[in-house]
Amino acid sequence: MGSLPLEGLRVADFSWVLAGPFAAKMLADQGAQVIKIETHYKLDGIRNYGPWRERVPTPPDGSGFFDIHNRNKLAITLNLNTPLGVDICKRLIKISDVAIENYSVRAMKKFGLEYPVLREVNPGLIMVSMAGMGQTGPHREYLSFGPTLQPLIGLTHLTGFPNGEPVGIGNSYPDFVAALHATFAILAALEYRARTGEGQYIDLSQYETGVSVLGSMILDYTANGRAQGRIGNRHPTAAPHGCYRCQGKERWCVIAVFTDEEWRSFGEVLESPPWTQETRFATTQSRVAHADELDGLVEAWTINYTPEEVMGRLQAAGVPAGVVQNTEDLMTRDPQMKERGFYQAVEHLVAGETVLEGVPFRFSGGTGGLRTAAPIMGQHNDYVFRDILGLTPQEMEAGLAQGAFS
Amino acid sequence: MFSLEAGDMALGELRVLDLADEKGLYCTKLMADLGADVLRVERPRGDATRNIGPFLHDQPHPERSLFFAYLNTNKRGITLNLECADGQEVFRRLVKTADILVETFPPGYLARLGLDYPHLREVNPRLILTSITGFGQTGPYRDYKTCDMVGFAMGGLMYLTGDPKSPPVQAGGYQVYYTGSMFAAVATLMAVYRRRTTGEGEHVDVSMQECVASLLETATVNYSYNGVVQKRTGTQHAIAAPCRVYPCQDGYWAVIANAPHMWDALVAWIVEEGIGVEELTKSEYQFMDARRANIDQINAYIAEFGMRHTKAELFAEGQSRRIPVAPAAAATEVLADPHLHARGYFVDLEHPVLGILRYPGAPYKLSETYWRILRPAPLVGQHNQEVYQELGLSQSDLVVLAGVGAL
Repeated sequence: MGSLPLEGLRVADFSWVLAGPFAAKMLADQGAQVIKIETHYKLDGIRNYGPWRERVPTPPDGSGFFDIHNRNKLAITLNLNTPLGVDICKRLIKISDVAIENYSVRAMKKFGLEYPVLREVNPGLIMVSMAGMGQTGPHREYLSFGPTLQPLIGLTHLTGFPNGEPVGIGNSYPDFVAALHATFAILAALEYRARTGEGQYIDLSQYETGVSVLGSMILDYTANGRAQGRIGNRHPTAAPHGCYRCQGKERWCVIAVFTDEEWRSFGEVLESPPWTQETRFATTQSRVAHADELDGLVEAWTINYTPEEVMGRLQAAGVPAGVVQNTEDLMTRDPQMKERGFYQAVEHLVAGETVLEGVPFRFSGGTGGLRTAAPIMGQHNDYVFRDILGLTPQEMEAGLAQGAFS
Repeated sequence: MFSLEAGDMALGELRVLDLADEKGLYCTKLMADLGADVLRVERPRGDATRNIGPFLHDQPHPERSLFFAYLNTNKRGITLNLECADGQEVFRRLVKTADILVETFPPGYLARLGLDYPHLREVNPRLILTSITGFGQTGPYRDYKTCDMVGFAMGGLMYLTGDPKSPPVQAGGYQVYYTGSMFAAVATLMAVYRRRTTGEGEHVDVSMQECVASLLETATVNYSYNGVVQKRTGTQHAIAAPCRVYPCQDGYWAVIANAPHMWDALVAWIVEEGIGVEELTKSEYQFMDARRANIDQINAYIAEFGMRHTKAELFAEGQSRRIPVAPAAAATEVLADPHLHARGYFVDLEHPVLGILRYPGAPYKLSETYWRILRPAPLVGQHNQEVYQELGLSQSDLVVLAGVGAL
């Protein structure tokens, strides 16, 4: 295998919780050296979060939430409230390509590590700030997390059944959206730097990245004055298009019929019961109009089979269908995931062997992946301070005396 | 419009051929909005994604799709028939000039045309070919059909989405297409980064299923550590408590108060109105585990409190108390938000058929390079003349190509 795509890139990772760490993780996965800067005085909250191996909490290490989003990183403890801590941090910035932070807007300034300062230290630095609301604007100090951002951008309102509560996506989706945009912007800035030698500052608002993935919702309103609502599992131009109960407890499949050809194939898989031949289901228009009846008839069929059987038979006939997979399905049964080797095992110092997500893309020139587990607190202090930054024994001693490494 | 040099844009020196359908349109939009010269290559008479609604005034027409208009800003549009020899020859000439090609065809389709990676690499060894498909280029499901909902289900996120008393439910607004596109855009620029060292392009294989499965937060590790299969819990967060969406006078609002100081601030606010005075102030509720164990009762108090207020009141007052609170906004409220306007987020853009409409704007502000929309989504074949002339084709070449149905 060749080298990894981002080998030679160094990232100073000031971020915590989810959005920032996920962005830095994507860079680490592909070979960047990501150094996570932490302090015992203010822990990344998800180090206390779990889930824990055998449900026994072992903070600050072994939290599953932390371990997924910080794998492949190096970790140091550096107290930025000490002068030497700030000085050492600047030495790290001097030799870094990228800095990532997702604190609230005042934090980096408080440490004296805001962009204009860091730029003087290293004009080639690319720094991204990922505050929930961005660095400017009247609400810049508002607090936000994934579970409040998803409602704020409008996605919660759009997700769910029309006669039920808004449910939103069952994760902190806007954090991931922000992380992916941040990573893209960093890589774009690296491309610019490769041409010009110049670094730059990126002000990313998690609110704005979230609205940017709701283009149809925004344009439907500005063009048609329509505030879109919830449509459950329906689709405006496909039927059947839904989630259907299958054999077993909490076993579901989805089926999506977009074309007449797919509808004919669907009927053949069901061995052409009379209702599949009825004129009220003969065209997409009439299937959409009779989607309620259609859903009932489809489910009366799916309930007799496992979701894997439903998917296998329909896909073999060219009809889009899928199992509503849970993590057990994905991690132990799904032959696709298995063959592509998506899940990877790694040994964590505290949590032991863990299996985590790999990388959702493959490079023909060599892909990164899960190489090392998430670091425990300060695991790489020696390596980073002595070997990378070249601190002298005297400096190390002074640092210890000042509490700079805690 | 003002003029910008390509060099002012971060991706200003990259040319992208965009053969993607809905699975990849946001990938190439991200590139185009940072200055890449994205050529949207459509089949003759226009792309099928032009049939995806909503449409201006609900009148379906290839030039009236708002979905297409949003996802194709800054791209130039050309038509080309990849299934005839003349079209393929023109395509190879285009590939020679390109840095990146993004495609979403079923695996094997380009091979049948002699235009798969090994062949394109011969034409242009520096080309980065990014393929976005439902399940990737390999594996037993590679030929399976997909769509937004199938990707959501197979990637494991649909199982976690919805109220426990209702069936799992898909995400609003085609989020799986966006998710696949974002990962693909990131991966593509990683390949661009590596190309600066190696001088060589490569093939990037993106699986929509795996992209979704990369966003499962604690679900993977819950299973891997303890064999626990995480289930859907509506808006109630899997771990944090309280953390969910609650009803209020004019809709819904959300609050997360799992950190001790946030919990204290929330309780103080609710208790001021005489709600839950004895219950919520119990000392054991300082601990999240105790709150989780009694979350139904706590939720009932928060809901009762919320019903006395509007979304706007809760948002302003909650935030002034340093509690993470948000309204469950609809488009109306997002477009009216003074914060987004103060940051100049929305962009008014004129399109020859759609007129002037307000679009989502820059998702990030770069200090040295621009995020700008310099042109609206292209009309069908709008830039054929321009692009094919740049490629060195003469007017008589174009007449022949049009005559044989290659354009």
